[in-house]
Amino acid sequence: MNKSKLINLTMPAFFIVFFALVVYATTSMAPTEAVFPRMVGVFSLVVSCFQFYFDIKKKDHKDKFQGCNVLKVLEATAVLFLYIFLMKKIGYVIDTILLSFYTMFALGYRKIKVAVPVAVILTLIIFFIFKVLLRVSLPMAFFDF
Amino acid sequence: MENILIGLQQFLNPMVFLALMAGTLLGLIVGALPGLNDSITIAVLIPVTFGMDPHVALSLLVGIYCASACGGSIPAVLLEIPGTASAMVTAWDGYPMTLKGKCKQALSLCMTSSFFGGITSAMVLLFFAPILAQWALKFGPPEYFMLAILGMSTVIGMAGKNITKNFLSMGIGLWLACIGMSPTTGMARFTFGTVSLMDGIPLIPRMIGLFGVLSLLKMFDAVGRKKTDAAIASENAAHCTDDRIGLPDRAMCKRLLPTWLKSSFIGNVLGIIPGAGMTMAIFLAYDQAKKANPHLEFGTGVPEGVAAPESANNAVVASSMVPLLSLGIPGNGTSALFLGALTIQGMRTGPTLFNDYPDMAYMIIMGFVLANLAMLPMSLMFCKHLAAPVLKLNPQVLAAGVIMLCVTGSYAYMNNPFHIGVMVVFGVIGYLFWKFDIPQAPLILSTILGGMMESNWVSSMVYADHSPIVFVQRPISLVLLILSVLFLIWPLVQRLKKRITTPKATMA
Repeated sequence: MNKSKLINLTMPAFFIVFFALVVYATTSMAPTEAVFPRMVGVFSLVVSCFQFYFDIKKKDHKDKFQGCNVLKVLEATAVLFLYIFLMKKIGYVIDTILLSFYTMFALGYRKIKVAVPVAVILTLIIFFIFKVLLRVSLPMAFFDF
Repeated sequence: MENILIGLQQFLNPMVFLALMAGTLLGLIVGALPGLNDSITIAVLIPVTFGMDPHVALSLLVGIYCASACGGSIPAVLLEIPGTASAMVTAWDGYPMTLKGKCKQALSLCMTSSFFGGITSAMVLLFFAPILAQWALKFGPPEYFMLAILGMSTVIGMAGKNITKNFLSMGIGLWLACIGMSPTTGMARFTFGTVSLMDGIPLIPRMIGLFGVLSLLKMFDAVGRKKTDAAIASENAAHCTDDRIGLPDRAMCKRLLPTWLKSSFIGNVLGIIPGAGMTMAIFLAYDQAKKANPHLEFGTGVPEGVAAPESANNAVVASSMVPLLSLGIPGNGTSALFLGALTIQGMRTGPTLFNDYPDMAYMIIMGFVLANLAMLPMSLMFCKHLAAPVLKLNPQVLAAGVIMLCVTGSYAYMNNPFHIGVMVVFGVIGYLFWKFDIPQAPLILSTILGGMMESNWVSSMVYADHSPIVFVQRPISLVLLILSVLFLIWPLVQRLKKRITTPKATMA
């Protein structure tokens, strides 16, 4: 079995296991509340099996991740989770400035003298709209007012 | 006629007229900001309107409600982030138009289609409110369940080559809709002990993740490999000089007229039915436009793909006020807020509103007509001064702006950082769906309709003593069932026809 086929089969295989667990989880629910999730679980399990069968029968498989920067995607996802973690600790303003600077830098923008003021100005504009005009209570940490 | 004049007379007061215009502009702005929508803005403003003159207060709210659905399409077209949930389908063809350097045309079509849908629903509200409201009341749980099935059947209409993946996407969406408290017992299901999931997965962060974060992850995915979508959009916009923001030409209007009419009809019908909602209207309208134009490749930037959801979502706006003004039953969340605003001002909605406060009732109705008339030039001006600078930005700088809007919008939804997490998770789900060629549309629709399906299934079973015959015994439910079957069969018949005719053509 080639690598591309194996990658493509992981998707239906994952859903077969996942929906089997969903169906199993409904066994511990009260009968009235389990009806709908069970119907959904069984339906999706059957569909996943069909997908698995079709993918096994398929001959030409393309490697969906070939030439893609998956590491960069994982890094960006990790940074976004770090952003959530730091939000309450360092406040919205600093956290968002750092996130926007990271985004520009990671996407290949190397003019630091431009990127820093742009990150600060963009953050302050959005901060002004949401916090001052629309009165959204953004976490402020050091700069609360 | 006399009543229409009474309604119009209220706008001779400059404060009432100015409030309507200010509301329309505010609606466009909040609609264009991801995470904020008409409901949030109206909810925030209701306490502010408490001390205002009732006519001024209601005019302001009418303006906001009218324009926000239209404003939501602006970031959907420019950045692939729907400003409001009602604009998510607009992004499917609106953003590809931007990639082709036709963003100004896409924005012009959005605004014109919104105007068309909005003005038709204002007319429906003006002339047919009481009659239609009585009809809408005939909808019980079996009808609502069948309505959700009808919505789901459009998934097949949208199916590409792989129907199994569409069903799989639908199944995942339905499972996601099960997360939270059970509608029957109130017990937590699939919440993994997280209190924030007790109310289910919120729509706004979910949409921001599936559209905004996904577009950003696609940019990260392409680092060092090829030109990103944003870079292509920026280059195309710089080279495109003949494109302009304004009313579409006569030929385009003639081409889009059937789509506008059909989508506005769908929006009006679904708007009147309490709880049916804008989301179903945009999906149905898009699906119908796709079926009516099989020669066009939807999702690649076709004008009909923008016109259909935009006229449908604005057609829902005024028509959702029909049950509220005629019967005192709010058609959706935003019209429920209107009910609150009217109650605060000491008024009771329902049939007596037209007798007790004709000036107020007809002012609201005429407000929808005037707000739509004002919205068209205002929104075109708004796009003219917003679209050009946005597209001139460097793609990496634009990406920084997009991520800031995404995180702030998701947080602002309920002031909860957990929702930023939801946004990120759905961004990753969207990325994996994109990689494995699983369509997103069924996922989005089924997460929205899943809750409605389950609660109405349970109610129908209780009502009919666990007999599914109830779905064919009631005439409206039966009609909806037949329509669902037709929607399901139609694409299969089309494919079969194609298969039969293709070998013949090859042989000839």
